[in-house]
Amino acid sequence: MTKQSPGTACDDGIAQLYAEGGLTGAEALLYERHLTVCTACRRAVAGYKELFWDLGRPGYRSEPVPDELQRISDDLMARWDEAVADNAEGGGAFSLVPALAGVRGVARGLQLIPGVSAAGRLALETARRTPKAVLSVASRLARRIGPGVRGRR
Amino acid sequence: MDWTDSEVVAACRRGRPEGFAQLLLRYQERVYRRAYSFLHSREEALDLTQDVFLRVIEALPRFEEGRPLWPWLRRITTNLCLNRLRSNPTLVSLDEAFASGDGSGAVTRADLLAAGTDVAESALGNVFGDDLRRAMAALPPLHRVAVVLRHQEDLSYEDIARLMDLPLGTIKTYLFRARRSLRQSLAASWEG
Repeated sequence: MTKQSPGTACDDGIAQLYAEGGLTGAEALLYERHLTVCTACRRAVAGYKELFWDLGRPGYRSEPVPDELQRISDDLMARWDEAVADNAEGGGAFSLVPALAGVRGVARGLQLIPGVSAAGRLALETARRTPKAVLSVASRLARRIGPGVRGRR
Repeated sequence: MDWTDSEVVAACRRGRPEGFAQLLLRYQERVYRRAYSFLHSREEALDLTQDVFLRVIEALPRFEEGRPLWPWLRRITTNLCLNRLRSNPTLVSLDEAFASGDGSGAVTRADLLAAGTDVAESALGNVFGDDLRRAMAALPPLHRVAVVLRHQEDLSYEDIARLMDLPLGTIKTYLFRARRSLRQSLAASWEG
């Protein structure tokens, strides 16, 4: 692209820069002065503005998407599964272990909450002792009641 | 449910297939369209789309969570496309729909503008879209890549130079020549 003063001559590169807003304020003012007297440059700027607008609009981009893309997608999913399976066997790239470590991390975190560990121990102890307590009460009741209905006959 | 990029990446890194399925659902078509706009060949674009996602499977474990996915996918797409073009400089448009078109000059842009209806606007879009696609297909491939990155991806000249690994002056020259060529081609087809 040649470097020319925007106000002095016709230059396609400057027309492009002006159309995409690439000139500084002072350069743009000079070029606009040139445009007032130059039909060819006005036409060029209008053409570039239209071209840039059309290049960016969605209508131009909407080529039909081929059906083969679905088959490629299926192939890629199969390749993904293979890569993950290889990783599981070889300790490879995917961080599957951190997913499990996350669960262990939650368990470790709970232990740090005050009272949670004590409550857990109490629950275990209660469960272990309940049968003995029940047996003890039952045997005391049996002693007070005596031999029972059958024995009184 | 709409997944964010971060959720997609996190699920993929845990090896969850639904994460990768989401990645394909969100980006496969976009990658294909970009590849097509670079290469203007349906077969080449399909092939390149597959290559892009194979590269993604390899590189995803190293991808930094929290970063947006599209700039990364665009870089992979552009790099693979440039590798293809550089290893096969004769690669030009293979798209049968446009390679041998006659310009369908029966209806001109002026005719359609004169009609001034919604139908005409729609038809104008289609005819003009075809003209533009044909003109883009005729550009030298590297010029076309620069135009796509500038006008469809809205990248700056500097970003395009970095992405294409070319000097800034070369990018400016590519864009200048490509856009002049496009304007001339379209002016000729409108007047036809």
